[in-house]
Amino acid sequence: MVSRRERFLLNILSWIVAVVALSFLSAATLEKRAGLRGKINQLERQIPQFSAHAAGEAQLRARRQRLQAELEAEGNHYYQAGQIDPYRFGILIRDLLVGSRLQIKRYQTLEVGKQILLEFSLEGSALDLMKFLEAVSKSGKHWSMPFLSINARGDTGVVDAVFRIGYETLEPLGS
Amino acid sequence: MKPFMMDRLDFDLKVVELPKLGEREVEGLLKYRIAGLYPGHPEQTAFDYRILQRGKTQFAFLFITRRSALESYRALAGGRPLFLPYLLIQPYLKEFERENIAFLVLSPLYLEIFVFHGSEPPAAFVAKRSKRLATDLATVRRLAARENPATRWVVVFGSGDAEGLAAQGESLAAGGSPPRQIRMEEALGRLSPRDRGLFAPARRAPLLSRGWRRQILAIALLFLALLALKKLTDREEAYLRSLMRQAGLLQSQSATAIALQAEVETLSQQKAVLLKKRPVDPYRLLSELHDILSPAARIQSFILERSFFQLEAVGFNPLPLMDSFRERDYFGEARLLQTVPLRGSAQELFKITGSVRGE
Repeated sequence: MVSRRERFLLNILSWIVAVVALSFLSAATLEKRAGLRGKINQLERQIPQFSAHAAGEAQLRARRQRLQAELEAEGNHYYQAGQIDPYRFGILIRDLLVGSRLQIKRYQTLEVGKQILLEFSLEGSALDLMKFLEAVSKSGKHWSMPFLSINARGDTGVVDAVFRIGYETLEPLGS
Repeated sequence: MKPFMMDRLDFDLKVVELPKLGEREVEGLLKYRIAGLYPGHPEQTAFDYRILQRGKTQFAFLFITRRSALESYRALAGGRPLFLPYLLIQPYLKEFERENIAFLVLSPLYLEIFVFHGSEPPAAFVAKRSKRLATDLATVRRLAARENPATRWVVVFGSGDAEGLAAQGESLAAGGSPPRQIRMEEALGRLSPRDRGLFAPARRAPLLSRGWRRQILAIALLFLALLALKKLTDREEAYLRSLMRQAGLLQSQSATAIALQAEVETLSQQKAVLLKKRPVDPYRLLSELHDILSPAARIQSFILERSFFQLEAVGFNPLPLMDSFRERDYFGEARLLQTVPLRGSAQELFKITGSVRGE
């Protein structure tokens, strides 16, 4: 038979056990809660940033489309590899000069680095030369003229000109 | 429910000083003591008690009667709570805990006096009523003469004694102050509605003692607190999961946006490279120069090499022309190299160099 004192001590002991167990459980739960709170705070900070990024997606797509169109338009001003050669280009320029009533005194082919240039020496009216240069400008392709020299013969309206002309090619992207 | 007053003369009242005991032990002790206090056969004896605390001392007011008498009262009461005069004064005792006090209860058939002196054992005296109140009061005064004159008196009386008391009850003790008078109805009104009276059938003993009930309640409260904490944690966990889902979704969208951003940057760079590669257009350059120079000047010679140009022109005062070069974004830095006034003319031959910024 358990005495009153023993019953009292047993009661105290079971209370201690219960309180310790509950304390451990509470501490574990509180610790878990603190961890959860930390993660929640972090996500609550990140979500607006992600949202801001995601919201800009439509604008970025539009900008990409615009840039692609601009690149394509600009790329069309360049010759693709094999589309033209120096001789066919020479014929084009010569025809243009003749069409502009400019008199070719001399022309030659120059190789500057990888680029092949045609050098023309000519004479004619300043107005015709401007017409030729306008035709070059509006050819639809980028024809480069790295050198151009014009000298007026007094007030006669006649000019002597020397220029070097070439065409621009576009290497495939990534090459 | 209106209480049923029993005849005090059918009951024996004993006052027992109690040691410090628990509720259950008190009953055991009184059962034991009753054998010495009451001559009746224990099996034919019924008793009930009320505990009174006076200072640090505890007393039991023990009401003892024959079981047969109690059964008769129960039958007469018809379920109403049974009570005796002591129950009427009990609610007032708290008020006079530190005083010497004597209560006189005047019932139609008997009178009863209760005397309380500090922490001394209380005393009780009961007597049959005479036909006249004056005789009863004389008896009381004779008894009161034995008491301390400073003892305060309280009289509880029924409606039949109201007039007589008003005429004769100025003072019960010689030289004492007039007694406080309490009507029976008022005293009955002070009875606690929870008071089940004397000799009430024993309530079914609770399954658990009060101590156990308290402990179980404490454990239940702790458990509930823990449960609430867990519930709160579960709710936060669910919220975190929803946030993670949302974040995951947004993150994938954000990753697409980041990839798009990178693609846009690459395309912008490619565009910049292409624009930089774009050759100088001599027609546009000469048109721009024509806009700036004419009609003040006429170009004599012009040289273009890559993006640098040099021109020689004849015109009037070329200095203001330099502002025009600066105003146009198309041109880089332009310099007036040389100016030679022409003999016999207001015009000057000047040389300008500059560069083209591009499209």
